[in-house]
Amino acid sequence: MKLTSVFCLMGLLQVSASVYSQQTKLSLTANNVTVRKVIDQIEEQSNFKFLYRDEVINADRRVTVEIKGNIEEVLKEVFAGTAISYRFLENNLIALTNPSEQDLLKISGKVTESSGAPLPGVSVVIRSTTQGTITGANGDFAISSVPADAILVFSFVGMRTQEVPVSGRTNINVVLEEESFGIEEVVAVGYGTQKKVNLTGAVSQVSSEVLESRAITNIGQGLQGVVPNLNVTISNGSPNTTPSYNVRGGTSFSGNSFTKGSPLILVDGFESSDMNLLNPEDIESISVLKDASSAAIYGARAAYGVMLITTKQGKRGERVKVSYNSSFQLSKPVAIPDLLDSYTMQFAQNKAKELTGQSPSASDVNKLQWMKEYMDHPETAPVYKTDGNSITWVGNTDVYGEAVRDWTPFQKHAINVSGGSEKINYYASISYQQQEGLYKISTDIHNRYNILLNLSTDVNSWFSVNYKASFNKSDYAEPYNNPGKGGWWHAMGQQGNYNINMPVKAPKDSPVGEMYTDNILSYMGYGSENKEIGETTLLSVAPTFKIAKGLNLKGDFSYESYHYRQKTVVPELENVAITWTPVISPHTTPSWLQKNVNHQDKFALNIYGDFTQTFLEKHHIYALVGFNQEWMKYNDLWSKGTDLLTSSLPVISQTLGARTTGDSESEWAIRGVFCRLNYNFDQKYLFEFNGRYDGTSKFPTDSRFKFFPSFSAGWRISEENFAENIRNVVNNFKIRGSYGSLGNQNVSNYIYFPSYGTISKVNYVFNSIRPMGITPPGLVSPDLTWETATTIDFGFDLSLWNKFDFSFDWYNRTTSDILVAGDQYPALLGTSAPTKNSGEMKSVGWEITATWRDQLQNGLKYDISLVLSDYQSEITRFDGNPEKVLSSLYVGQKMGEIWGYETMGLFQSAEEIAEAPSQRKINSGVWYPGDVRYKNLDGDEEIFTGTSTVADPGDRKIIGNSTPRYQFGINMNASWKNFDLNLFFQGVGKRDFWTDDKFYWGQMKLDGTGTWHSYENSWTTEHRDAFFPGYRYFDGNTKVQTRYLQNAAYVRLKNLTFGYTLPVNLTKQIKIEKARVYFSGQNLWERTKVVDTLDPETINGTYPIMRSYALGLQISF
Amino acid sequence: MKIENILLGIILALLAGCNDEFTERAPLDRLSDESVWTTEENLQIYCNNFYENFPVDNSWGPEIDALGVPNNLAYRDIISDDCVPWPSYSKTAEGLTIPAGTYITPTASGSGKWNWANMRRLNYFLDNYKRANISESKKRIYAGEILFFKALDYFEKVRLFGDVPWLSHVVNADSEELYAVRTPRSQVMDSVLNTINIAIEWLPAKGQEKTDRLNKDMALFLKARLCLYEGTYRKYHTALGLDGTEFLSEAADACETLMSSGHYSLYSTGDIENDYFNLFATTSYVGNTEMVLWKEYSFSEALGTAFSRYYIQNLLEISASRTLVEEYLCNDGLPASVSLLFLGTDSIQSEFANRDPRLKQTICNFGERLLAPGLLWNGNNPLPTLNGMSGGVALPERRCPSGFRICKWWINDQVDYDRVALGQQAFPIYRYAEVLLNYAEAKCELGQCTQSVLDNSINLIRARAGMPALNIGNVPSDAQLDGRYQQYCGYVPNPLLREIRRERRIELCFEGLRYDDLMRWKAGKFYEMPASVLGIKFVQRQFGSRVTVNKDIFLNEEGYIQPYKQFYPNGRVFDESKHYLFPIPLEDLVLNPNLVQNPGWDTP
Repeated sequence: MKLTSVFCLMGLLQVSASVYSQQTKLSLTANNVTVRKVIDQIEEQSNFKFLYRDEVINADRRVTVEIKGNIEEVLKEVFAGTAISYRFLENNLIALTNPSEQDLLKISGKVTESSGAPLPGVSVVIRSTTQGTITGANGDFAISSVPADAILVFSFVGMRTQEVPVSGRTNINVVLEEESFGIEEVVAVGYGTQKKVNLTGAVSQVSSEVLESRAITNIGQGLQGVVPNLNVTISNGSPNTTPSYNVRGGTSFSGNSFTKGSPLILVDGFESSDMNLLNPEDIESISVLKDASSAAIYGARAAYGVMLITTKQGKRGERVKVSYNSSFQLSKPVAIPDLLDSYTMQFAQNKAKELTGQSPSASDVNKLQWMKEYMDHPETAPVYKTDGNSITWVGNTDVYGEAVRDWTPFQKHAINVSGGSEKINYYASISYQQQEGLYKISTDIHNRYNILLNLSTDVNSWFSVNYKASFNKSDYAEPYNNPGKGGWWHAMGQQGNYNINMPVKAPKDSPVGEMYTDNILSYMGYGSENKEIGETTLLSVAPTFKIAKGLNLKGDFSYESYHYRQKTVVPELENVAITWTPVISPHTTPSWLQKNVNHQDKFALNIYGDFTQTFLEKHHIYALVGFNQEWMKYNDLWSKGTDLLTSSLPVISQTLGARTTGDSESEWAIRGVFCRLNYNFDQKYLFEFNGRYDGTSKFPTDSRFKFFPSFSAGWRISEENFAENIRNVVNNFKIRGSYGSLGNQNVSNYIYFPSYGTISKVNYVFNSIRPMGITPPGLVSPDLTWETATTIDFGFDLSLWNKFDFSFDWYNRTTSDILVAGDQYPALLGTSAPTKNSGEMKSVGWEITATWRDQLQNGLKYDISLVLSDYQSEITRFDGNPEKVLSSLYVGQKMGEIWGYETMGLFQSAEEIAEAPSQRKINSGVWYPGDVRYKNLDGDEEIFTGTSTVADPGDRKIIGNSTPRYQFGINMNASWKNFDLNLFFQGVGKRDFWTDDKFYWGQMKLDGTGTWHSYENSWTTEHRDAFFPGYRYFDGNTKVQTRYLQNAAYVRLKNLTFGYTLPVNLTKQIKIEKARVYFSGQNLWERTKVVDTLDPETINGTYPIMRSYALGLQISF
Repeated sequence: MKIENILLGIILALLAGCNDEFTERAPLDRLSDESVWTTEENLQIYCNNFYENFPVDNSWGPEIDALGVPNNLAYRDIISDDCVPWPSYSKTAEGLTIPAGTYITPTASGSGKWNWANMRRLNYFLDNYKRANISESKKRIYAGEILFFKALDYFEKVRLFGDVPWLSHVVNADSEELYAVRTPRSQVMDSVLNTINIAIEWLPAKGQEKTDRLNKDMALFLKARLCLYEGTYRKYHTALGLDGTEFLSEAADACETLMSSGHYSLYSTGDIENDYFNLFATTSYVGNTEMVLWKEYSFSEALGTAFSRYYIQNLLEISASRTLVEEYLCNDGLPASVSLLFLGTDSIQSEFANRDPRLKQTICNFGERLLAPGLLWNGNNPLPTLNGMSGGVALPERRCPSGFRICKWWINDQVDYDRVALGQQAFPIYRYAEVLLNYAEAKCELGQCTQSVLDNSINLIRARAGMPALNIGNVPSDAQLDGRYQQYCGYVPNPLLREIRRERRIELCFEGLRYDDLMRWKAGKFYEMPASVLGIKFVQRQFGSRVTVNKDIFLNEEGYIQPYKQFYPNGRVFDESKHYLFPIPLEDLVLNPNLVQNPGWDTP
């Protein structure tokens, strides 16, 4: 273990740090000179700096000394005979005070904004104490017993905190500036922070306000549409859904599809196993590092960007602050499918026969009549017709009405305590949220619990430690969604003969009494359950050593345990469906129970030192060098028992049937060294180099380590002399560019090991048991190595009139050496060719952020910001498909391409069909009037797919693209007096998609129930100009084609928040610093061309998107 | 300490930390090469999953692969002239391209059964098993199993493609074999014969094998089947210029060995109306002496298929053909075309009267062999569900096409029907009746068929079915069938061979062998016989007003249901110049320029 050498080195450094004040020998000779001069001499000789006021220490006093010694000995001599005392502060700062002369002042003043408007509610605190006050309605404040050398801290939410030395004054007026707008804004970057103005890479930062002032249930919701080209996908509206993240589009490809890889997500520098478990309110800021230069320091895991999440810390010298936030929310689905009633459903089925020249069977005609009778008199008419033992169901179940709740509740409570003294600061939080699902029957419930403690303490002037402990837990329970039955939401909209015609339970007066039928809702209600629990526990210790001025050594060691448990119980469901003889539903027999336990241990160690120095005033240098290693071990164990003894005791040891079990283990490790060199000349010319030498267990020894460099540079044109005249208008203008390459180690763990496969149970019975089987290893290439992403980025940042901010970035990311199926070999090889580093693709895109902020004379403050981004990804090299077969990826393919036929219209007559090119190859069935006519694109006699290659696509062409283009977010804030308003729109400018969804097609797809939308717009002899073809199940009509391609562009009001902060002078009387109530609505409105049952955001999501209405309360004291 | 020194120190220390064992992580849960080739148990485990290669019945129906040979035992005859399935329903559409003559040359490398993954696994064993430190005799048991499966695999490849590359060892990415020409059929089949002979020698005798593992008899069965195939194929495909006599003799010898072993006999309880039906409707063949090898499922081990559930559902769209029905003898042992007992084809009832009892045990007569209540949907009907009739669930075109509804393989058991994934219906893999039929045919082809040969083979099968024995001195004439052979095959088998082939078709229908028989007999043109896609004589009053002619169904001039009138107005097509062999995927022809496509098929 070579780490020991590192620790040894650290020991050495500690010694040198601790002894500075002890061992720095000063040599002082002064003959009748002023104290001021003496102090100047000391400062010249050493790194010490002094803080004092002339009149307090009587700086003009003349002294005569001659001494050699350390600082304490020197000072003792200089101030001998006076009451002056000295304190050592951080950074070798020494404060000189005179306790006897120190007078306590009464200070008053006024706090205003830059516009001159008074600012009420500003906290005014004497630094390093808890003593303070709050400004009144006119921005006035008065504070007494203030030491003359004290520093007042003025802070207000949304404003940059100012520290003002009292310096003996009794009247202090302060102008507070708005926070994030200032050019001093600091942004989190890898292993440190940087002033935003000095950034040369593409970095976006989101502050805590985005996440805390409204009612969101997870971080993903808060980040959607906030950062340009941070693509947050929330696949459905389930409480348990996990948002996925992507930066800047397509990253790679694998198999037959493009991949949109996830960025590396670090929470306080640690790659968390499930960051979606975090409480959004604990987050201080989120930085998204998009280009190679800003991400390079994270090397092998950061090829596709980095998200740095920083949790909240207490502040030094801040008094204890307690905040309580809670919200209550009610939600309902954005749209509920408007299904046909049972009569119309059957009527349409009978009519479908006529479309093909047949007649409905007698029993279908009877059934229709019975359904009509039932619908006309649901109270008296029977819901079934029975013939002997067999049943014909004729009910009209409102399946969504039966299952979906009108309102779904959500509640959240969070308390945090933060504060600090001179040597310590802390932030502690605890929160709970409960979100219920949308079904009435066996409602799914999601709970989340979070505990976080961040503690930072100074051990002494050169050594401090940060501790972090967090625990996050989520649990989710839902009725088991039987795969034989499909996801609930969609299953309810199909197989109408079960889900519409059967009631959920046979009526009491039926031959079997009240009993479940085969309606989908019986599976929801009868008692199956799936329960998932996820827990992360993180412990972290991070020491910092201040070795010398500008030189720090830091380290952190973190351990995270991620534990996941799942239990699924599927008891037998007894129901009646076809006959009155109750049967056990085949989908539930044998009954079964399964438990999965999945555990991950993860260790991370970082050691790094940084150094800042300024030479000749204008040359600023920053250097960072560090070491990182991480190790992750994964353990999985599952067991399944069949045939439950009783469903009331669901444990595997109480099952009678087959029991199976399995497990797996794997691990990976990475290790690397990294560095950053940063040089800027006079804040005008900025240069940065980042590099990382990285190694991973995922590649063979010889190709395991690789060096990934990146460069970036910026030019702040606005700092040039020639720009001085326009600086009032152009506050900041910087152009920047970066180039670099990064490796990607996110591949399977053991791809370079040829290993035998095992089959735990072969599909053959030997002597009554199914034994194990072994399969031989496949072929592996011995020289696999990194997939590399190379990014070029150009951008500029512009600020105008102190009101307008604009940022633009253009990038080109080329991913090369993509691990793909290797050279193609004849099938005779008998196994897949070894994978090799061969594929290449590129993503090109741009992103814009624009913000306008202003305050009107009447006190109305507002801001509007727009983020807009776009990308396209294309394959530039892929050897696996030389023929360019359309079913696979091919060179030149753009991500999201949709191939389909061009629709000419609908056939109106048999003659037209006979004359048109034959469509028999599309569907060998007979084509009838009302069916789709496809356009003959290739000129031959038939409509078909050709050889399905790019060169010969038959009558198909590219008809659209499903990649979301021009994704945007528009965020508007306004506040006036105590009111605040937020409107947030999010959307996609251009997108196509093809759907096979039965909500859309109804009975034109197998088993579709149908909605009124497609039924009423379908072709009949009376309705020849209809949009949809004849309303019958016929595959030929639903091929991918232009006519039914969906335009998924949309804009959605993601959030509307209206808040009111109670007047401070009112709340102050009950010791409350701030109390705000708000209403917040999510997904309140949208505009799209997609039918409402196919949400443009989730597209065929298994759980609908919800509209939510929330009331929230924020109190702090 | 100077800052530079400190930084240098840090960098050196950090670099020293790299490139060591920390990033060396071997798999934690996988076997290594050294640990596999050691014990007898490991060799046995390696062999286990090859048993999955036996034909078994797929749960959902014939949807997997047009050529679905290993997966579809009961379904495989949909690609033969015994079956009339709907061609438009997605599950059969691809399979139907074979009899329709519209099968398309596959594109993707390794598709269309040109798949060599199994062969690699077999050769991997043969290249490595000698490393095990166990006795030679024990090694040979498992090598025997592997050789058996290798012969089985090559037999299938030769059936489909004719010449195929012979691989003795594992090929690697740099092996020359990858780019070699195909090995001639004669050479491959000689190697297959040699392979199966070694397997027979090395496998344990029946009773000596470990429970449910391969024994000599099973290898002998495979040998008989493949030798008869090759012998007759060579005989009738005269253009090959190959002599099949040796293979025919080997086939007859292998059968004789099995027949004289005394291990097997035909299953019979004397109930001629039900024995044949019952033979294919059970969850276990334990104690059944007719089974040389059968597939067992296990509920407690969670092994099963949804065969019995979905087969009867799929029978709503798969039906038997008229030519099959016509080939059943009357129960006087005479063909329907000559027997005085034949009552004509005016209705299915008259057509089924006085026929071989196996007919009604294979195809439903109206009102007989009803499904148990609760099976299928409300549409459990004494009549076949023709178009226009209600079938409970409204699925267009899920209607019995020909009206000849198949009932062979009906287990008719509510419990098994409801086991949606773990149905337990057992399947015969190698059935002794086939040995007898193989024997009779081989002997007949060799010109060695005597009355005693018949009495020891065909006549045992006929006796079980309740049919009169075939008498070598009194073989009936069948001008209709002879005429068909003449018209479609260009030759007329001698009457004895004709009857042996008839017996085979009747006894083994819907067991997945008919397609291979047509190919080896060079009888592919049978597909083009109009009667092979006709159904029952439609009698309107039996169906009342529910079925309307020329709307729901279509009839030919004689009043037989003609289900394909719209789909294949010109009938099916079999092109003798190409359809006896299957095409090699286009990609493989590109990847190996030395590989030559079979005649008539697309080339890149």
